[in-house]
Amino acid sequence: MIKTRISVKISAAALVLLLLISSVATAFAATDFSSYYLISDDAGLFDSSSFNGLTEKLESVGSHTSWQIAVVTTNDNVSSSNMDSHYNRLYDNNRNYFESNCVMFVIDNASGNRIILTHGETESYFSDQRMNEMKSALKPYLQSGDMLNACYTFADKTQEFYDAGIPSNGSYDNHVEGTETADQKLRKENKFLYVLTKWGWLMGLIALAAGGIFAGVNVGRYKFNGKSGTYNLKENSSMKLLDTRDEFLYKNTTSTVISSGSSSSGGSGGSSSHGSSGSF
Amino acid sequence: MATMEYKCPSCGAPLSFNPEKQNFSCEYCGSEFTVQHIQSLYAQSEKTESLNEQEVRQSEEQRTKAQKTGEEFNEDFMVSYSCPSCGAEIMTAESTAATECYYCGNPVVLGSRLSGEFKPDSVIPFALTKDMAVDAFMKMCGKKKFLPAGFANKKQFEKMQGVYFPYWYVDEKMQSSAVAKGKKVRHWTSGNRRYTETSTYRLFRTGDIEIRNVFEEALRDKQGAPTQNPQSTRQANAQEAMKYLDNYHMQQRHEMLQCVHPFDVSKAVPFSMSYLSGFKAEKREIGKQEIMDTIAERMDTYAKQLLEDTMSGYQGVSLENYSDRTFDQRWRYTLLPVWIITYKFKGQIMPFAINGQTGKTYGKLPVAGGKLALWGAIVALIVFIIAVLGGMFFL
Repeated sequence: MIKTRISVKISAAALVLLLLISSVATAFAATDFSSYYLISDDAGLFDSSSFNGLTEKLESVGSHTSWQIAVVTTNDNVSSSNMDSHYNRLYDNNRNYFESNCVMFVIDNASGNRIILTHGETESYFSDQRMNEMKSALKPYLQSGDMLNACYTFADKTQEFYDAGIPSNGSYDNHVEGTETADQKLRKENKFLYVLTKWGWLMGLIALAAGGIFAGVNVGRYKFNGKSGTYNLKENSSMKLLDTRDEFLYKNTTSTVISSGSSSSGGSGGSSSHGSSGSF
Repeated sequence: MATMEYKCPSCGAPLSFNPEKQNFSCEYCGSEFTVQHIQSLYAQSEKTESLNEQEVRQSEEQRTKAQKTGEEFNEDFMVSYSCPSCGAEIMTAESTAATECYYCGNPVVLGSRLSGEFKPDSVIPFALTKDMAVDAFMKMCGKKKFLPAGFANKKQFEKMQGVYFPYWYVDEKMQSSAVAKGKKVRHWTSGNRRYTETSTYRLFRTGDIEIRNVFEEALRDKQGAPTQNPQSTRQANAQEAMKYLDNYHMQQRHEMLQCVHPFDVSKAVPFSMSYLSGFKAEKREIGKQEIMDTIAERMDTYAKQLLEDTMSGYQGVSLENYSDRTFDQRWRYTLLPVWIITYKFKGQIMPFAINGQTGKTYGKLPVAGGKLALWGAIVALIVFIIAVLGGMFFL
C-alpha cells in the first residue's frame, strides 16, 4: 500500500520536474520543417499562400543540395553585434530541428538586422566573396521590404553556390569558429556534471519539495485519520421522476482566430559548428 | 433514583450483554441466555422503571429553568443512586442512562431515564467486544508505518469504554420540484477560426423523493460526572476514558462520533434496557424541536442534489427555484454503539472512537517525526536522482 503511494508520489514529482524542465528549456517556434528546409515565421511576415510557396521553394533547393535551407523570422530585437552569437545559440539549442549542414537566413523584424549563418559543409561554399554577392542580391528586396522575394533570392543564390562548387581560392575572413562557453564544453564532455552544476539547485529544490509534500501528506493523513463523508445519499435515497422538461431559451456563438504560429520546446545537445556568417 | 440490574438467573451474578454472541453470558457460571429470555424475565421490572418517568421530567424542567435564567446548575445535574448490589451511593451525570458502580463494578441501568418520551425507539446492539474493538484499532495502526515505536501498545487499551450514544434518525418522503438554468457548449473549427456555441436551457424537474437515515447527534456539551474513588483499575480506566470524553470540546466530540459513521441501521432492534447492561449509555438531551430546522435544511440540500443529478449533460447548472411538500416524516431516537479509547502517549491524551458495529476507527494519530523525516529524505533522494537522469536526457 505504502509502496503504491510512494510510486504515485514519485510519478507526480517526476511530472512536475518534466514540466519545469520544459519550461526552462529554450523555446523555439518551428512551424514547418524537414531535413531539407525549415521555416519559422515568428515575426508573421508571410501569409499562408506566401508561406506555402516559400516552403516549396526551400524544399526544392534543399533536396537539390541535400542541405537544410532555413528561413527564420523573429521579433527578438537583437543588436547587429549580437546577431551572430544569438542566432548561433538558437541553432545550438534547437538541434532537433536544425540539420548539421544548414544555411540559415534570419530576419529580426524588430531590430531590422539580418544574418546568414552556415553550418557544416555549407561553410566552405560561402566564401567572403559569395557572401558579399548574396548581400548585394538581397539588398534591393530588403530595402523595399519585400521579404518574400528576398527569401526566394536567398534560396536561388544558395543553389547557385552549390552548383558552382567550393571556391578554389576563396577567403573566409568572416568565418567565425563556434565560441563554446564553459557550460557548453562541460555539457559535451560530462553531461552528468553539467546537469549537477548547472541545474542541481533546481533539482534539489524539487526533490526537497517532493520530500516535503510526502511528509505533509502523511502528517495530514494521520491527523485526519478515518475522517470521511459520513452520510451516503446514494444508498439512503430513492427518487421517482414525475416531470422532466428541458426548455430551450437562447443560444449565442462566439469565435476566435486561431494563431498560425504554434510553439514547441525542447533541445538536444550537439556539436557546435558555426560557420561563416554575415550580418546586414 | 431507582436502578435496573440484570442478574444471572442461574447464579445471581451480574449479567452483561455479550456483543460477540449477541446474547447474555454470565462471566461467573458460564450460563448463556438469549435476549428474549432476559427481556421476558425483566419485563415487569422495566415496566416499573418506566413509571419513574416523573424523575426525568423533573430533571428536564430543572435544566430548562437553568438555561432560561442562565444559572449554573451543575450540582443539580448530578444525580445519585444506590447501587443495588453493594448499596454504595453513586453520583452520575444527569444524562447517564447506564453505567457501572464505581465501587463493586456492578452494571446498572438507570431505566427511568430511558422511559416515556425519552425511551429510544431502537438500539443497535454492540457487535464488537472490547477485544474485537482493540483488534480493529490494532489493524488500523498496523497500516500506519509512521507511528512512533511503542504506540500500539495493548496495555493502553484498558482505558476504554463501550458507550451507547443517542442519535436522531429521520426518514422523509416528499415531492420536490426544481427549476434550474443549464448550458450546453459546442466547439468546432472552421478555417482559422474556432467557434463556441452556448445554448441555454431552463430545466424543470419534479420527483417523489424518499430520503432515509439522516442522522444527528442528540447529546449536548456537558460537564462530566463527579470523580469518585474507583475501587478497581478497570473502573478507574473506564472512568478516565469517559471523563476525558465528557470534557472534550463538543465540536471535537461531535466530529469524532460523526466520523465513525455509517452504522447499518437495518440491524437496529426495538429498544430494550437489557442491551445496555455492561455498557455506559447516554440519554438524549436534544429534542426533535431543537434540530428540526437543521434536519429540514439537510433534507432540502439532499433533495436538490438528487434533482440536480438528473440534469446531466448540462454545464454550469444553477438552481433558480426549489419547492417541496413533505408527505411523511419519521423520527427515530436510536442508541448507537461506540467504543471510546483515551490513549495516553508521551503525556498527551488522544481520544479515539471505534464504531461498535463495524470497527471503523477515528482519531488523530501521532507521527514519528524521525521515521517520517527519513522517508521524506529517501523520497527526496529518489526524486533528485530521477531529476538528474531526466536532466541528462532533456537538457
